[in-house]
Amino acid sequence: MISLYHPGRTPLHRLPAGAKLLGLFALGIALFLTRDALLLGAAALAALALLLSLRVPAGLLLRQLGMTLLLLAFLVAANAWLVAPEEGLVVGLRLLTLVTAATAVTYATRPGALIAAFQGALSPFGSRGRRLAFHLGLALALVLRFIPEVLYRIRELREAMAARGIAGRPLRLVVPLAVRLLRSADEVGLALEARGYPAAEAPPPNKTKKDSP
Amino acid sequence: MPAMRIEFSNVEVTREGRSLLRALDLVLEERRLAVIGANGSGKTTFARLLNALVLPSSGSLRVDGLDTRRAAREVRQRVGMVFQFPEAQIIQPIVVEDVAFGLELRGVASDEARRHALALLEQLGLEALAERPAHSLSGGERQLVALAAVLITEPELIVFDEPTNQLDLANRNALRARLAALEAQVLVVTHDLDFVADFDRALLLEAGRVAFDGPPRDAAARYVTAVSAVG
Repeated sequence: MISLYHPGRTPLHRLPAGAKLLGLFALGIALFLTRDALLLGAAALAALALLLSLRVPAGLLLRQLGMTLLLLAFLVAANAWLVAPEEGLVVGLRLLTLVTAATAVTYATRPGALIAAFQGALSPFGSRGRRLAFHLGLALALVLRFIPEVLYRIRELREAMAARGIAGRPLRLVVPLAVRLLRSADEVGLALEARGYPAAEAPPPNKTKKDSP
Repeated sequence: MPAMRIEFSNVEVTREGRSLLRALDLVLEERRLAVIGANGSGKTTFARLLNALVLPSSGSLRVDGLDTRRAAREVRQRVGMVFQFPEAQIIQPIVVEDVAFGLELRGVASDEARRHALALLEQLGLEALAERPAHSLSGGERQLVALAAVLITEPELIVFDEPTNQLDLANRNALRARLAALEAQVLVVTHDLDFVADFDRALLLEAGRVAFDGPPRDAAARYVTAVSAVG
């Protein structure tokens, strides 16, 4: 779900990240307080409308959500068959609503804003909390950053192997992939150092003056 | 902006018994400096010394009077570095966040840092990239974003490690123009001889030693002769 962010200026884009996270949290609870299929259906439609309001190209949506929808269909079928058809409907609508709303929030929120919202939640814990939040935020950003890199390296290795006539066997990717990733992790560590990490002080809360560099 | 004084006194760098740089005794205070040399001649090590990423094994290096061994943090505040592979340098997932990151590390609040980053991107004509995921950038765009991420902290010296390696001709020329317009002191490590032709001073490294020190044209001529003598 990481690099799904899709820049835009829709109302959902403009909502503060913290509000969106809280909204998702509340929605998650609310969905499990009712079993009314009509109500749940309306919620699912509303979530779908929200997702469509972001104007993300349909092809991209289907490509990125295909797997999730397939899994959902399987869950619905399993519930309908093993428990009861109504149970399948209720479970399906709940999950569909939640997944759709969460996807909409992911599309409409910069990863950095999500991290900042999460850091904000830690800020009441004083300077310790802020320092912890800064480091956690950095760790999260690094994770986000490495996901596309891992995917890119896998593709690169696959192509290199295919070019030399070595096909299949994903297990063969593991060692060269690990070597490459460790090397690029080293480089990133060096770059972090060059850019001044570790910070002298944890960044202060907002609304501080920038001292002229 | 006056150039800083960079003073090498008998600097050697050895790693795992191998000597990477030796007997460096130099004072650099020109605004545009080039370091050229073949692969493995010690160019990257030289660049990393200036940012205190590599420390002298013996001898000492002073940047603006600061010993890199004792005052690494202060040195890094004065010396920015654009890496050979800028993708390694880009740490945050979104361009504007990455540019702002350098300020955040220096204790600037994040919304303030973001405002400065946006202003800088606009100034560089890169505002269209601000919200793009960093991994979706092209090679040329990456180089420019890496440069923006360095410029935001207003370093007095910017070190470029092989900046033209991954660039096509148009991007290379764009970078050259951008570099010429920089107020900061600049040191470029490269084997693109033409790129540094109008610089103030060039050092030619051969097997970790300074084999020539003077105008870029003469350094380039000497480098080309050395290469053809071997070939």
